[in-house]
Amino acid sequence: MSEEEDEVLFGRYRQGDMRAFDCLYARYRQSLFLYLLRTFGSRSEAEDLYHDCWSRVISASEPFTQGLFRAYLFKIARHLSIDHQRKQRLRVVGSEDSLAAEATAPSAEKVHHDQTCQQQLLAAIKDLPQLQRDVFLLKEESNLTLEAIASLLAVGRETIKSRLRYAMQQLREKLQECL
Amino acid sequence: MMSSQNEFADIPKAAEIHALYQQSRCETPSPHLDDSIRQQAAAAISKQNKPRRGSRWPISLATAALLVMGLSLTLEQWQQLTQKDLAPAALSSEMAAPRESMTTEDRAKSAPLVAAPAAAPQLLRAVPAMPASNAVLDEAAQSSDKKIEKTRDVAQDAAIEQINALIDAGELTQAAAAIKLFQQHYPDFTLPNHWLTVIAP
Repeated sequence: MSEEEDEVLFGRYRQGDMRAFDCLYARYRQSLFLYLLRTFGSRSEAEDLYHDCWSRVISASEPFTQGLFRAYLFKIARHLSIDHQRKQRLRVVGSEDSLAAEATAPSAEKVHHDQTCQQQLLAAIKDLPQLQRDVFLLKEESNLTLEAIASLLAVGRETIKSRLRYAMQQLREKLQECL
Repeated sequence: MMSSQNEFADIPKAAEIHALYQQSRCETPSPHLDDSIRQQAAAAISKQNKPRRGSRWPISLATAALLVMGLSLTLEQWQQLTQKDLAPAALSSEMAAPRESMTTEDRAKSAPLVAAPAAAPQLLRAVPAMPASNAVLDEAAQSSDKKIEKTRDVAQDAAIEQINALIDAGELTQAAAAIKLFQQHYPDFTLPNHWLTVIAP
């Protein structure tokens, strides 16, 4: 069952096979969570949205008619993220700073070089413009192709590639010591 | 549809950034959250597997239709019963109607016919009154509705009883005359043997 395609597993789950869901859940457990965590930087927010995302998948009367389950899952996650960010902007002005601070608090004296670099990377990701960060995280976590990401974000492939190129450029600049 | 790093080969240091990012991927959702989602998924399945209760409107509609049918049947039966009960009375009134235009003598003659089934001895005097009932029977024959048909049946029964009463009383001549009259009105009626004996020459 572990080698079956996501879409087959999801179909089995819809027919009542809980083991299929377990398998599917295990596949996307970490990547989906990390996508949300890296987007927001806050574990509590990421967990809330993670739960909401799976709830949407579980309770969807019309799950998805075509395409990839992976793309469907990350599309839900992205929509939830956007909604959440909109609400957040309305509630708290300047919360981005506090979120960035949460991620950018490496105690350089205590951590090793690698860990420091990882922290710097996470902080650099957090500092990316939202559109670039979104593309970067989708590429890293969803493992979708550029075409699939472009379809998910409803933009052209070249736009995605361009955003990714800018994102990488910024990350390179901030991680000069690590790369 | 899986992403490959070849897609980003032209982006400098893409592989290094990817590797560094992959090293940082250590966080996972809490087990409590996993359990919660799993339970939700299991609950959704069990809910889905339960036999679906269809909408209730067809049952309600069927019940209403049955009620209407039952009521209409009951009403129809009640009407039929009422008509049966009223038929003898209607016959009596119909038979009584011509009496108004009759002479006193005629009334006296036809009187036993109206009360025919009730008192057999009086029927003996009824034979001369048969023409009086003819008028009623003719009227009934002209009418095609059910009510009149039933009235006709009742009149036929009364005539049969009268004839039988005449035969029993030994008034065979009168009985023969009555039988012949009866035959004229009810040509389809199969005469019983003891009637045939009476009218036999």
